[in-house]
Amino acid sequence: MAPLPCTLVMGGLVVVAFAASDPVVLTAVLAAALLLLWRTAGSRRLYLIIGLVTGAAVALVNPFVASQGDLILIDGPTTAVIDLQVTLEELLYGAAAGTRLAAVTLLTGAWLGLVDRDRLAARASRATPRSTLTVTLAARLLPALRRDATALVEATRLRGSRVTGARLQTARTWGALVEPLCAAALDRGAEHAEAMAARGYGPTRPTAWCERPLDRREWVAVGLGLVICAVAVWVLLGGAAFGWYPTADMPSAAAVAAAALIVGLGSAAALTLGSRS
Amino acid sequence: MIARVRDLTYRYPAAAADAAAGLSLDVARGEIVLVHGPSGGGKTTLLRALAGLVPHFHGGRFGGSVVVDGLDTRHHDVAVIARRAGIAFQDAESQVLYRSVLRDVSFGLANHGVSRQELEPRARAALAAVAAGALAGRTTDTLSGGELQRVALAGVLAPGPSLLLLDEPSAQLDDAGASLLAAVLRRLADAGTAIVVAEHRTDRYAGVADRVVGIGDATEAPEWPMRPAGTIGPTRLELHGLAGGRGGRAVFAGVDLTVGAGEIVAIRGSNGAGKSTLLRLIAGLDAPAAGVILLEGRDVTGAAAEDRYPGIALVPQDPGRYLLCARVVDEVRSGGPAAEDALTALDLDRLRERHPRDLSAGERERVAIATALAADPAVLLLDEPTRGMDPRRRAALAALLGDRAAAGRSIVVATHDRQLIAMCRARSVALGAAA
Repeated sequence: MAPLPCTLVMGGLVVVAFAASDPVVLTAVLAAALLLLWRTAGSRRLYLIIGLVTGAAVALVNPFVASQGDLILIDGPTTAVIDLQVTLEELLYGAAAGTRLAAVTLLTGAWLGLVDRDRLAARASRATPRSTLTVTLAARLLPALRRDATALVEATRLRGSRVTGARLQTARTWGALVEPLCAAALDRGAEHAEAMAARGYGPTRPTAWCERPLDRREWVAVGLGLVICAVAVWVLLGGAAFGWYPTADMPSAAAVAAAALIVGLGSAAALTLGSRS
Repeated sequence: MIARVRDLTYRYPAAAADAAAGLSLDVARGEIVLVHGPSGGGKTTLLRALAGLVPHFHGGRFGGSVVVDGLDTRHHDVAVIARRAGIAFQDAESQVLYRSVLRDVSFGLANHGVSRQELEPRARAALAAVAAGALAGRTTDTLSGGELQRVALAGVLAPGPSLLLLDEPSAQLDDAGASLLAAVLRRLADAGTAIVVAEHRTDRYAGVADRVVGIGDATEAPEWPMRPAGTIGPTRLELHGLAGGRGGRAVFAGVDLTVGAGEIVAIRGSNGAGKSTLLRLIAGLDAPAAGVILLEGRDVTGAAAEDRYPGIALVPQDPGRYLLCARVVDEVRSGGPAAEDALTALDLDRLRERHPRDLSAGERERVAIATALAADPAVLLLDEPTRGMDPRRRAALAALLGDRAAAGRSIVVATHDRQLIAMCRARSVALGAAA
């Protein structure tokens, strides 16, 4: 998929995730992110694990670092390093922050999975020629590293080590792969950079490839992305404001409507963007 | 002269020894120069120096002079030299930068300022020149090793360099592909392009190369030691109706094969026929779409690779990607208890403290074979094991495989290397339309 529609859709949703504080809107963004990630062709599990684990961690930690809210659930002591008094508002705010982090992680994964990296690198070379090396390396390195990681796991299996099953053994096996994977990443990066240099990449601006125009589906996705961006602007202007402390507000009717719109737009975008690889 | 190398001496940063010492070479327009020498003997370094990558990209200590088309490489940027000299690396995977084949082939053209209207036609023409026109609509992640090598070569040919530098360009090509490559090179040379090919398989350029130059401790190919025909024991490995694919595409179906104890079987086939896929299925890395695999009468079709170890060991096609340790000795030890014997058998004792990633392709291949041998597997699977190996090493490998077979081990080797097949007296099995 062309970079423009992907960026409009995913970028708009990321802005909403960062700007909104209303839990209904944040939940809607998470739902849209899950739908978009589900439609990607590549590996989804990694982003799901990272997004859900980091989101859950933020949700769990917040009550012990914040000290606000009226409705006390656990009345523990407050020390210099940790606050053991837990309020309902702290729990809810933590859940909202975790939802935000998870949504942004999933949207990043969806963008990486859906965007045509060739066209992205070509766009970058036109827009910011000095960044072409970085963008091309990143675009090429990600799939190459995925294959290298797969090869390293296979190498481990071919030597009789298990990568699934008993947790301790599995953890040891995966831990031992960190160093070779870093070495492989450095090797690959250097090799790709050398190949670019040898193929004439340098100070002059390269000729742009004749890109095919956006097709009908991509134009539909651009339209959906623009509406999502409009929602993002509305949120930035305070449309989905929400007060957590000292007591949590009730979601406004406008926020509920915005959330419904985001889920609808996200679903439509997932169907449109994901129909092409 | 299009290229003149005088007393080239070069040492990579932090390296203990020179990668090239006192090399001199003249290359005339329209000439094909074949460079051979031992693994790690400086062939790749010579090509990098002609492309300006040494010293500009790699740094290190550079002595002597290299002049390409009137440009002293010490005083000109790689991008400037790239307009005159195109280099195809040993590992095509690293050279390919885009997912779309057409875009990738046009990368060099775009950097050289070719007009956008010309990009696609010239990229298609370059692909057609290496008989890869059918790959134009494919993505690079779906290509086999040989197909990827053709795409990489097309990318170098597309801008029409006056000096073409090729590092083991036929390493992954089948015989038909190698013959075609030789013909393409002759045609380019006749049109005025100077070509330097670093290659161990000099036989593939017989009648095409104008000159053969040996560097390092270059030795002539030894007399091929033919393994005496051995006795084949009871059946050890059986494949019945095996079907497999790659990237969701079916590659082969209905493959039947039996391998006896003490037998060497060579799997031959054109690029993309599924030789590597077949070995992966036998090793347990992938599951077959259909069929049964029996190891010493036991059905292991559903067993994972780790459960087939140490009965079956695989040396994959690109062993550089399968390196796990920071020292050669540790890498081989991770394979199994017979590491010391394997190190000696593969002549790796002097490299045991080196980092495997610092080795040449041929040396890495030997490390990978030693790692597999350390497990003393009943069935050893080798995927293109002579890639990057000089003739002496190939003969030594053939002898080693013969010894393994004489000790009752079974060996399945996927290869385009007819000399290896002959030296091992391997039973040749064709997969698909064998080349």
